[in-house]
Amino acid sequence: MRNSRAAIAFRPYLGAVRGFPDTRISVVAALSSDDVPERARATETVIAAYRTPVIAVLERRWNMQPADAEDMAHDFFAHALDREWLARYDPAKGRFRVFLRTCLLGFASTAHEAATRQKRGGGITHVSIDDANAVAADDESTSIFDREWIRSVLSIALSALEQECLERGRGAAWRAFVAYDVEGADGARPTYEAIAHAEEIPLTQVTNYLNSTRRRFREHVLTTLRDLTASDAEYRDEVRALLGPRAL
Amino acid sequence: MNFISDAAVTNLRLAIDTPDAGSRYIVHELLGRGGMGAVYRAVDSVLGRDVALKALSIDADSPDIATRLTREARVLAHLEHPGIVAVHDAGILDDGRPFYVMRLVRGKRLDEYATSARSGDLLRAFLRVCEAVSYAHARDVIHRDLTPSNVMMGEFGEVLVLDWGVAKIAGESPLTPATVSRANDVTTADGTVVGTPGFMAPEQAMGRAADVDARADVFGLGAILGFLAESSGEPIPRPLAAIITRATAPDASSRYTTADSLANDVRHWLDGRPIVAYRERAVERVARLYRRNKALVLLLLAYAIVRVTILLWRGV
Repeated sequence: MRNSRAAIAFRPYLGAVRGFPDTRISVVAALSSDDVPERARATETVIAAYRTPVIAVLERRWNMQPADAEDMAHDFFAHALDREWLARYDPAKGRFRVFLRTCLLGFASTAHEAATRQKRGGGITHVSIDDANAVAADDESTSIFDREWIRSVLSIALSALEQECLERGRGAAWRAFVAYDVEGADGARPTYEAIAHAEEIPLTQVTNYLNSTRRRFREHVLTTLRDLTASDAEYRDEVRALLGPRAL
Repeated sequence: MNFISDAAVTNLRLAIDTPDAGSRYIVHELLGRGGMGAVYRAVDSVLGRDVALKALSIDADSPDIATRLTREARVLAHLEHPGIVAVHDAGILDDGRPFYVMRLVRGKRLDEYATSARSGDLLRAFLRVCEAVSYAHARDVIHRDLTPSNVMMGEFGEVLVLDWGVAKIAGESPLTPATVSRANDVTTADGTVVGTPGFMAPEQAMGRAADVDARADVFGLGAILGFLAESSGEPIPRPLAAIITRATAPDASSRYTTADSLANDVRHWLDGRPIVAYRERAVERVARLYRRNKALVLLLLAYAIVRVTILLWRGV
């Protein structure tokens, strides 16, 4: 099922973002840029951010094996590029995340039908953006996609934070943050005293590290959301979505 | 960073919203979240005490909300009363969100407290709410969102009126610095509806901001009184029902003019004295006088019986 016409590299998000100048426009806005390198970087960034949610929906909604889901995700993004779906996104019609989710459900649904037909001897089917949009999102797919999108955004911000901490010699602050706020969230949260002991730093330094690292993490999350939205209104909507009901 | 667990995702989402208030205030757990922001328990590391820190939610998208939070802090700072939570500090977080620090009150909201409290205790708590509101009115501040969930019952019997974020500052007041006055204009502009349905005076619900005065709070107090009276599940006594009806009259001119006059009627009813809102029948008056002077009536009755008995005995 792999489409050979579009070579897509699932590179880490950070690498893609770093290619943008500080005064960059949002990645989503850059999808329709006339500047080819800029458009390529934007595409790469969007794919890196949405790859995990796409695979999760394919695995859980269509019961695909992980390898098949990865192949299908690759085909989806290749198809989207080939047909210029991403470039044709209109911010006035809704959030980019919802647009991409709708496209995915349409693509996967049609591809699934085509695969079934092929088993019975039918031909290959091409999916148009109208076909894709015609498929209504069911609650389960929406829930999986949105949940994984949140996880993806947080993962991207965590990667950026880790890289920043390591580059600035703040390894202890990063380790304290991971121990307390990431790994500690699963039930075995260490005390501040334990972190201070492990890192051989004063207790007050643990508090300072956690506060400053959380602040930087928050900034990375907001920057990521800013990149992945096309307007201020969409940005605020997505911030609300990310910070909305906490239950996963 | 590889895959992050569901629990970590939940925790990180909370971490994003948790305010970083510098080295002085160490922010701990979330206590509650409202329309304007979230309240956290924090430790004031300078004074070594627990405080409550209220900060604007990171997803608040309206400058009005930020203005309201700042304004709430200013209003509270000028209302020094045992029934109104004290503000210790206020400022702007590094990420631009306003916050303020106030006394940490541990206890229950009045609506939670009402499920298990006796009616007498509830009415006495209500009188304390009236006192706080009356004080605010004396300082030209109208709360505009009085509900049972905006009243906190402290562990040591304190009764505190919370959530002054939509308070209206009436007329020219010494507690209205320029920023507060500007914010006031925004939130009291005609057509702007603030408050809670069911506890909001009709003139407020209809957006007639210019008509909203202390009697709008009297309506809210009356609605709270109705809520408390109903929470016992028993029939509401007629005089108390009359007090509630008068306090929540649709026409503001038919209500009690002040929170004090409403409180006086409730206090008089509790003491077995006549009230303004209810014209009692002769039988009810006798019954009330009997209840209020039970010991004296019984003493006089016993005296009369003894006298009659003596007279009858002598007559025989």
